[in-house]
Amino acid sequence: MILQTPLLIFLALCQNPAPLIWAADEEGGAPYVFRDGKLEQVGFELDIIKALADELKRPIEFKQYAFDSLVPGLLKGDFDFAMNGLEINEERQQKIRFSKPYYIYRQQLVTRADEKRFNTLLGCRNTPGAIVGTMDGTQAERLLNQAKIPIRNYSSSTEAYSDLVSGGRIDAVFLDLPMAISYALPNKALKFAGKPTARGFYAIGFHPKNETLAKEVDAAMDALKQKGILRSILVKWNLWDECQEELSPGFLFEEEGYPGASMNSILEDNHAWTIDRYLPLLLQGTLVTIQLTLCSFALAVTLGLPLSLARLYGSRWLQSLALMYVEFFRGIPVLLLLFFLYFGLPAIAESSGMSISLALSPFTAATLGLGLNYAAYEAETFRAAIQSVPQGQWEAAASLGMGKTLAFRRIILPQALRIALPTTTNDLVALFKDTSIASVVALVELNKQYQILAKSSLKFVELGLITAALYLALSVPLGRLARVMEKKLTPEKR
Amino acid sequence: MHIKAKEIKKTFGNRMILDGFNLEVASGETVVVIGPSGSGKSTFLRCLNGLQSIDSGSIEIGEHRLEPATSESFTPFSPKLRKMQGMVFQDFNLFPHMSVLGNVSEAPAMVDKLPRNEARQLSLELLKKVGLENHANHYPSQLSGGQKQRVAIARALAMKPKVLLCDEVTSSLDPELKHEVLDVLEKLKSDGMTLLMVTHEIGFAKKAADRVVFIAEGKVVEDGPPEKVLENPENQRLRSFISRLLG
Repeated sequence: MILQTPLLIFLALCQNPAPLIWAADEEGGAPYVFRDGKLEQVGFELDIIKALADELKRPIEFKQYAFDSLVPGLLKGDFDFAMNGLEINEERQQKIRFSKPYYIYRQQLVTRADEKRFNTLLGCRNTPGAIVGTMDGTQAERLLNQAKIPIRNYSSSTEAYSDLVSGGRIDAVFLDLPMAISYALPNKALKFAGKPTARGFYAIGFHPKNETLAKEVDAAMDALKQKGILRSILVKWNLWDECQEELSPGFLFEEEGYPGASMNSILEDNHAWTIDRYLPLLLQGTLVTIQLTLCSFALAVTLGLPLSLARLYGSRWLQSLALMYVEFFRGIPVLLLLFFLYFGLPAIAESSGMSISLALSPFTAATLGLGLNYAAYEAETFRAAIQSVPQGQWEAAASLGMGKTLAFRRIILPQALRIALPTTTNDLVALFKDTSIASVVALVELNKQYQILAKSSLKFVELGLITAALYLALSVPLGRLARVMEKKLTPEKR
Repeated sequence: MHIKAKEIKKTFGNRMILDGFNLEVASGETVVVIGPSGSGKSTFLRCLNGLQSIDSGSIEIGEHRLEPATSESFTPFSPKLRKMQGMVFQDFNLFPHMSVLGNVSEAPAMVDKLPRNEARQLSLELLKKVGLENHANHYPSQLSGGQKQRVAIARALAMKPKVLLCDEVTSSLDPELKHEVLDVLEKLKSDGMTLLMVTHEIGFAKKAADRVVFIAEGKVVEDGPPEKVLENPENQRLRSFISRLLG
């Protein structure tokens, strides 16, 4: 019996080999791997995975992973392979081992149906103020950057296309053809601008040291192509086009080693990740962070003081209104609030048939969200501070003939602000760091800039330290400034 | 200025603090109010100044008349009436964020709308009167208790009140500092200021008071010249109160 148990486990392992872990991002959307209307996982890549699992005779398990973290995650060893519309390019080829490709993608520019200003990427570049939506870490993003076209990054294709439909914030979306087919083709408000361009390859990514698995999968992929299974999957998903013929084993590209995505006219793949290249970008992000901090804090304070007054001295009706505000905005996550302001408001405006667009810019949405949230905290800080001014101060002011307003303005408020100052300063520093969540509304502030740069260059440590230093270089003096102000405002304690 | 309080009643919750309180103060008079703690002395002063409302009875201050009010808030009270009565508190209640000069000149400048430099001039004169002209630029936290109370007196005088209400103004002070405040008050008396003081300073009362009023349980029990009330008290309770006070 004692000997039998390990034997049984061994046998069980032989029969059911350990599942392979496959990483992809469901948030990336259709048609790769996503949730359909019944919330079931579907997608053409899922179909390929199932076919591969049959061919390999091994189960494959799905692991949710952010798209722009797939390469770092792979190198970290979080999963066995990544398959999620991962484009072959030189930079990635230096870091990871690619399988044979399973799809030849092209990029498709999509505009609103009524767009008259341009119909090509070049035309878009020549249109002043035109902004193109795309996704973090995609080849499309890289191509746009190299073409020096202003972009806005989204973390899913759904967000990009729906933002294009709601209008005002972006003028076109440049993304892989499969996404355009899934979202833009059925949508009457959108149209394909020009023909698909910039051909490249989707392939499965492996850790460079995992050559054994890569070879196995390559063989399985060849088998799928020969048996026509891959073709039938692509046809099923409306993805089959004449380009895909080139996937056949023995085709020309196999010898060339699947060169990185083309659009040779604008593509120059010399990514030298030196400090003089990324520091300006980080400083730019820092500037956005500072602006966002100052604007949202100004909003928080200007809203917080009247709120605290309403809480303390308002009519019963006003008091409960202010209390509701405080409880509401303290009680919901800022992240949710930002998401709602950015993506929810335009949808509401649209569905209620409002003539004005409520599509806020990322900066406005972030300022509003953080400001509204922090106003709730400032209101409570001010309220506590006002209440902690001794009653005797009111009485002394009153006995000198001061009215309530005058007494509050000249006697109570100055003392209350002094009491509130340390807490308010803490809040300011906290807000300064909270600005990092503004990245969810596509605002590229310092933290987002770090993520983008780090994921492209894989210099997580180096860039992380520089980014941390930038944050500290601001937050530490901020604390010091507050102490100086405190001293200046409390002359009696000097 | 004449003060006349008639049959004042005041309760806090279930506690009767003033129970048919009668008192008159003539212009230029110095009246010292004594009595055991909780007898309603301070409440009476606060009612005069409108910091507390009265339940029933009436108060006449000069030509003004104070009626009972339902609200405990002191806002409905006329600032004009308050201005006529300076009030000095036990705990000074100076404005900590303002200099001594600022404390004194704030009300003349903001309430009487005196130009700032005139208000400062007036304040400096008053500070001189209380012997603190050299401390004009100090902050309250830099002063001793006696100095603070003298600033508070100067601050009250800056509104040119007709009567000064002093609510246990020496109770928070160290014994050796009490005289500086009492000296100032004596000087004010000799200038003709009407003084209504709640205090435990029997010595001061003997020396400076025109009348001493003993109150207990919200009523005036004894009212007369100091030598009569303090030295030959008829009332048993007053006698034991004084003997305890002199310890």
